[in-house]
Amino acid sequence: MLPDLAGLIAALHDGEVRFVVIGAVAVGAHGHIRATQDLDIVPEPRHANLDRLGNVLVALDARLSADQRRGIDAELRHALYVGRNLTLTTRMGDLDIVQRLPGIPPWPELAADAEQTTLGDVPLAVCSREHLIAMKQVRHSLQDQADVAALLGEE
Amino acid sequence: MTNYAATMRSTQRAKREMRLPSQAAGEAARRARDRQLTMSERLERVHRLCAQMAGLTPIRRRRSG
Repeated sequence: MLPDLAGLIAALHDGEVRFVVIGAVAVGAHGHIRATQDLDIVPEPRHANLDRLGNVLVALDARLSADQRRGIDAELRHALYVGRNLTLTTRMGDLDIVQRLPGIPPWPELAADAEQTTLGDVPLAVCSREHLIAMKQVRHSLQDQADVAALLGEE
Repeated sequence: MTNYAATMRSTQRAKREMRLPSQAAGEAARRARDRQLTMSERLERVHRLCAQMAGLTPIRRRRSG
């Protein structure tokens, strides 16, 4: 199945979920396009927003990537409430819900500094370049190092 | 709420959380799934993903100073 990045973002947008995009899509928005397998988002942590996110995930038939039998149930909604990360597969592709990540700033700061852009016709908030670099410098995987070099190379 | 109740609640919460597969397990499952793709399917996937990413409106750099 081919991920439908714009479709995923549109579904979240239509479900009135507040979120900031991080990961490869954010790197792409900052000028360095590379292939990605998934969409990584940080949701606003208020429970009302996480409820809306849970509803969208149900509509997308989201399942744990590690256990395809496991859809969005009460325990996974609770996991969102307590700030867990979820690694999911939906009918529009893979989706990572990220709430705990080294280098990630608190939501108010992340949201305030986010950049507004579009993917096709779909609006989205993208993590600022500075926060993106900070997160990737902390994680420091080979892909993160390549992303940091690309982002710094844009200067 | 008594301390006992608080302890029980946090223990029950911890048990609930423990039942969730880890992020690493999810990523490993995705890799296993993607290994089932043929090389041409992988190339097609990368090509079409890059085409989707090309629909991103680039963010203009803020000028400092």
